[in-house]
Amino acid sequence: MYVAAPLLLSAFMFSCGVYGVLARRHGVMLLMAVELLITSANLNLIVFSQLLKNSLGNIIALFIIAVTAAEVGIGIAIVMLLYRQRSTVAVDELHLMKW
Amino acid sequence: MALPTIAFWILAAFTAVSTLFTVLTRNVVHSALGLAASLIGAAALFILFGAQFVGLAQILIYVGAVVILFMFGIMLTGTAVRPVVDNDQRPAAALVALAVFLVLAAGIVSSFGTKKVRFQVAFPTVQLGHQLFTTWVLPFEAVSILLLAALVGAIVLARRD
Amino acid sequence: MPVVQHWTVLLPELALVGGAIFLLLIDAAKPSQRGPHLAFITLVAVVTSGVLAFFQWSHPTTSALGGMVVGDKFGVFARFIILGAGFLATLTAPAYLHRRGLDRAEFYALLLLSTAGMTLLAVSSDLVMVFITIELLSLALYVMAGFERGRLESQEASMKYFLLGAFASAFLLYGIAFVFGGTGTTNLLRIRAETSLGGVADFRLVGLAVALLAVGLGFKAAMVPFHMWTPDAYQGAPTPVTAFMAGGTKAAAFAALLRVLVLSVPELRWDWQGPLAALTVLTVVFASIIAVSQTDVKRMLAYSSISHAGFVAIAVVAASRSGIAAALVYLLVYTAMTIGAFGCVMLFRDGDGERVHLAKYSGLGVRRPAAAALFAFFLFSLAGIPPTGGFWAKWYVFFAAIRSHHAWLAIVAVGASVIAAFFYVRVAVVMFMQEPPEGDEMELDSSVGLKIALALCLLVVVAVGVAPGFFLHLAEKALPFGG
Repeated sequence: MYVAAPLLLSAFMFSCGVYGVLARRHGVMLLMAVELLITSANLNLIVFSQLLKNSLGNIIALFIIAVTAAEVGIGIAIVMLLYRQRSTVAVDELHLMKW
Repeated sequence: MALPTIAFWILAAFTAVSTLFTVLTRNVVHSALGLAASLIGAAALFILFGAQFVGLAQILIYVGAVVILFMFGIMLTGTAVRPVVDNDQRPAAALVALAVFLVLAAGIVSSFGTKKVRFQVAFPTVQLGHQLFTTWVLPFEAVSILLLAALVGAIVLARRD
Repeated sequence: MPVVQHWTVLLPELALVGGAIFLLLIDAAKPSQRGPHLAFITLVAVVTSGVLAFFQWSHPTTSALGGMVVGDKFGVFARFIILGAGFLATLTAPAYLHRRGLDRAEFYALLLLSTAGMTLLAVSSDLVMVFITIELLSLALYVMAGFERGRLESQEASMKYFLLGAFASAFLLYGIAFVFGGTGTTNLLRIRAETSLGGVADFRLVGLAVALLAVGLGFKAAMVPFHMWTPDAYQGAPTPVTAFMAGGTKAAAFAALLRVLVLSVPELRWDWQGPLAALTVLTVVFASIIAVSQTDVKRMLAYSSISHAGFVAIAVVAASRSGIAAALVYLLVYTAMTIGAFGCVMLFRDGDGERVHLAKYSGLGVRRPAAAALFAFFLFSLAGIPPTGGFWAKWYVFFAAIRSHHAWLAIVAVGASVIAAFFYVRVAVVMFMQEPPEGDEMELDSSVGLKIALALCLLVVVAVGVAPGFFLHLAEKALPFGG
């Protein structure tokens, strides 16, 4: 099978994630888009691991899963903090500071 | 076509559709479910490419923990019923995403246009574990410190005084 | 490759993490304790770390712990700048935090963990370590930026910093995946071997990967157009955190950028020099022009720090030995003067808060001439007016650019510094040429720590101004292999 096929799938996931980060204004949905970006990078690593017969890609993917889980935990904490203060999760309503 | 190749195309189609659904749907809960489907599809692909342990870790941590965390976030903020979803930059965002895809696709096709991959090597968990605790022991410890920082940080932000 | 276990390379980081865990433990033993002893413990940990790093200066270059980190003079020099930023931020923090009821053990623990992430980033020689340490320093900073939980600006700073930081990390990861795909390794030295003559690397893929890595690191170093988070995060975060972010993060991000671009993929220089030069021009010009229209002093200093990232990047583009040395000297002076400037903002109290609006600075030079003169000195140094340290830092950077045939870059940057000088000098004009308003006594913050921190910043900026050759010589000694 052509190795380009899974890599293009990963590029598609990455682009969807970029679209999500730019187009969403709901804090939790933004985090979901970030999660898509991370998973697409993991897919690349796993495919390269198989292509190069090198387990390094698997190891890196494991680290990434652990680290981004922690990152999402902080992200949810920040969204909840914002929600408690101003009862909204809309990120672009943050405009106290301009330019 | 060989069986793994057929499996790949089915899983790839499933993952691509659920990814697209995740970022396009206007319902927050649907989006979270789409994400779960997309992550499960990716995990199945990992296993197909010989990364059994990573695939299972992906399901356990991303689907089992992270998506549930998102669900909590949605329920606790009560936005499931009062949605604020997209901003007004959707056309611009779509253009940027398309540009990113074209750049990445061009790079991938020019580098790997004709190369083939076979589903033959599996990476046993024993081997990964051995490597994690020899060559990769420092990053492993660094991740443990990172988890400590995240733990302290999340409590600092979320607790009520 | 044999795994050499020189774990002693990591002693400075162990001191920092040990200090953080000690702070968390004493907080658990006696909950919600406050007071200056927490800052004191933090300072002890940072100084211990610095002493341990100092002893590595005379050691030969060693690759340690499976090639994950490298113990070299470059790492020691970068660590000193980062530890200095941590030390100064800790000195300024207690009074500020106490006034707002935020002087908790967790703050100092997170500060130490973030510092450990930065110093570890400066010695990382594997892309996986680069990613993990960037996440460590960022996660702690996201929380510290939002530490003033009741204030909306602080939360907003935290949210924006987090979202753009997570976005940047994803680009970094995608780049790391492509590096692995193109070379089969993530070790910086082995990447260099694979991209050299006779290596097996896929050049187009590695080129794409380096672009993605540069986007990720460009976010951390706050280069235009990846700077969108910077003004909001710097303005909204508690000022000691802003000072720490402006100094420490930038030094760590540039140390990593130098290791990745100049030391790991010098063979691809012709591919990355052009785009990076374009980003550099964009950064210095855009940031200088936008800064002119700012009326909030913290926000103006944020744009100033963006433009300084551009100046350091000129030295990276030069990609020569003199370029790396110039970048190190620049980061040293920049850290001292920018923390000095933010320290002065903390010094000028306005009731319970700080003076952040430019109009509030009118007549400050009449009422408080010494403090205003100190602030003006840091601003002149940031503007690069001789004979301050900031002037020599810019001089070395321009010189390195000209020597590596990027004279046009130096000319554009000189033009941008002239624009930038306008908004620095404007603050001095407002302070000294305008009449103070009636009934505003303009009290100064009386905390000892802040005064010591300002004195140390002044010392560094003056020392580089008086004996720039000595520091350049040190930086040249710190140069790693080749280049």
